[in-house]
Amino acid sequence: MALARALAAVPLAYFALFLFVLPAFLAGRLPGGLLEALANTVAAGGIASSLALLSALAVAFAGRGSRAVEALGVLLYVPQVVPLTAVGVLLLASLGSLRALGLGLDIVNTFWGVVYAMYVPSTGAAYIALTAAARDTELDHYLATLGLGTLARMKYFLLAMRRAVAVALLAAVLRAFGELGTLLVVAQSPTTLAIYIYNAWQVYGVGEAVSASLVVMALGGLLAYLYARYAVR
Amino acid sequence: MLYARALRARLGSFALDVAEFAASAVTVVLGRNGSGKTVLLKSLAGIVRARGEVWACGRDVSALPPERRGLAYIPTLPPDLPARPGRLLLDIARRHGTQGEVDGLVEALGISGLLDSRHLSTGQRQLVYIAGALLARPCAILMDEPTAHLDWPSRRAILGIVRTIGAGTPVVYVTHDPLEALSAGDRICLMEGGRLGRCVGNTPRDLWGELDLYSRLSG
Repeated sequence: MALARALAAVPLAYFALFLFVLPAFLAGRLPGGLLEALANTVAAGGIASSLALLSALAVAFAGRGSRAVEALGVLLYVPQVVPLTAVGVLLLASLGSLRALGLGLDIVNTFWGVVYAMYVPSTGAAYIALTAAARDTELDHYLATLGLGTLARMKYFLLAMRRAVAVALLAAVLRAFGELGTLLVVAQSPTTLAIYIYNAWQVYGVGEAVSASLVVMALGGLLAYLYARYAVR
Repeated sequence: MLYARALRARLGSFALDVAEFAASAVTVVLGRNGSGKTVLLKSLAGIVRARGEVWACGRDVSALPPERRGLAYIPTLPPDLPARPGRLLLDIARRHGTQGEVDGLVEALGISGLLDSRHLSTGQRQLVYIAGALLARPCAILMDEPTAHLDWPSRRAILGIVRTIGAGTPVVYVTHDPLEALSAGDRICLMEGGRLGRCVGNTPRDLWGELDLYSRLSG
């Protein structure tokens, strides 16, 4: 046990030292706009992650009865394993294509642009959290053979999955909270936390960027604590 | 009466190939692990996609989804219920029956004390699943090793209930235990390698003779 604790101390000390303690020596003035960025992140992230959760639930539920849907569900994973700047470029290009088709959505650098950019990575995170829990289909088979329709069975699916749904929502929120790549390309304004730090680095310098990052790390720590509490149980 | 003909399904390397199967009262499907008993039940219920004909309540249900076949499938280890049992039974009754039927059934199965319970034992869950299946008024009930995880008293209780149900609704009862097959069924059909063998009566003499023949055939 002592050895296990010693081994665990190494990564924990590394994270505490390099992400909190040592950077604090270089902390400078906190740039203005933090509260506005936080409010934008919470509002846009809340909408994006709610939509993401609904989308992930629909695909996970349908994927239980259809191998085709389950296979297509991989589409939701893909943005998680490529640089999100690439996803941002594709999202921006899609807006351009829509405009060329006469269906222009002027959401670049708007609040809805932020939601649009956060939705894709959030959906993937929610789907990953749901898929393992959604594999048990025996209750659904039982209810189906009793004549219960899709909506009634969906209710029991959600009840059976309530802890997984909570974890998926937190995963989606965390993903939206930390998103930068798609926002850099699609919506740098209104300012969100990731863009706020990026701007602090680009405009003010190291001290200000470190301060902004430390505040965001503390907020992220709170969310991560909630996530671990739900995910570990 | 439940009837199936030329029922074929494939799951990976396993193939189900049932030339003919008829079930009335309590029909037991007896076979070793991996012989295809569960695949047979799921194919009848429409959960596993299968070719061939399935007839229930006098109509061809082969092309219908599980929701409309009228064949209630009870899994071998009923999962935990995500809601209170009473709520589930009411949801089922709302589609098929009345509150009075729920009350009568709950009384008959002796599960009135379980309706508001959050945590049920395996045997208690089995009873609640049976109650749900009966409330749905199915053409037949497909039970997948319903006593596999139960102690002897619970087994005897379930077997008694199954025989009572079989008097009114056909039951297909899957097991790998020959003694249980004799206690549960009116007819016993042997299954091996995805195929159904001959069906015999529920006398030890018939069954032992068939089992002996079967073990010689399957090596």
